Amino acid sequence: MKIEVKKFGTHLISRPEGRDAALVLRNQFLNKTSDSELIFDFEGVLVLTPSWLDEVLQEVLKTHQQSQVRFENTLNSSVAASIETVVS
Amino acid sequence: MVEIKQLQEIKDWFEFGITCPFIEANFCTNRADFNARLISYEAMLGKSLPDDCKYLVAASIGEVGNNCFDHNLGFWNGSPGCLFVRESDFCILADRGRGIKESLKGVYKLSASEHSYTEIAFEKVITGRAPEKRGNGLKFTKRSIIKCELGFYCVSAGENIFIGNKPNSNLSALTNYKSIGPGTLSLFSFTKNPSLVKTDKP
Repeated sequence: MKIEVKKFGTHLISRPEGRDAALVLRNQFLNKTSDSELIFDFEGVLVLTPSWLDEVLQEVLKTHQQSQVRFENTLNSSVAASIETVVS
Repeated sequence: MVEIKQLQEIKDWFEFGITCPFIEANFCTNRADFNARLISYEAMLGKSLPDDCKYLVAASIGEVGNNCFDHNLGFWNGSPGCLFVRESDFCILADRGRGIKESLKGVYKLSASEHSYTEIAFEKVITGRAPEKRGNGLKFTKRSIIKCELGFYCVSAGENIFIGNKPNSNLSALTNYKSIGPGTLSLFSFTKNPSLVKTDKP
């Protein structure tokens, strides 16, 4: 399943916003698919923080292994650095 | 353009809670207000920084600014919120919350070789910094400042830290200032000045 992250916003900054996104992701996406692989597509995202991403990934990793999660279109510097910070 | 008088007003508010029209105009009473000002600030950042750094710095400012709200709920000294002064070559973020030391000391004890909770906040991932589950934001901020060759100053409860280039001397009223008051004051400086001494390394 591919998640278009920009549909959550182009500026993904705060921890509470990440928590809200995680709940939507759980109820509207993850609970409605049997796909084991999850792809986060960051095309169109301008500013991403580790706090926002951390909240989302904590929810995802309740049901998915880290190896089942992939990231695409991560050239934006804040996206790349946030992934490096949270996933490493 | 912020003048010396306004730097003094920032110090007076940060240390003693004395407010004035300049403080009120730059004060974000809630997170949504802060985030909206940050998004509009991006255009100004774009004049000082290349795109790569613009987005990285915006994310770092977002981390520091949101920390004002994340860690001070129930601990405000006066009005809840975050002062966010936005200029083309620097920005200032400050809150009158409980400060980094108070926020950290319940979950982390300094070792004999460690001297400052404020330094630790930028150096170590400390799980359990309530209410966060993981504390990576300030480490991310430090890496971003070093990567973009910018300057940063933070003071909280008498502890201070410089990262990267030292901010310009016209901001020394703040960077020479080691407040022992509550809360946290941070300064991002976007001026690249190779003649200034680097005080920290990646």
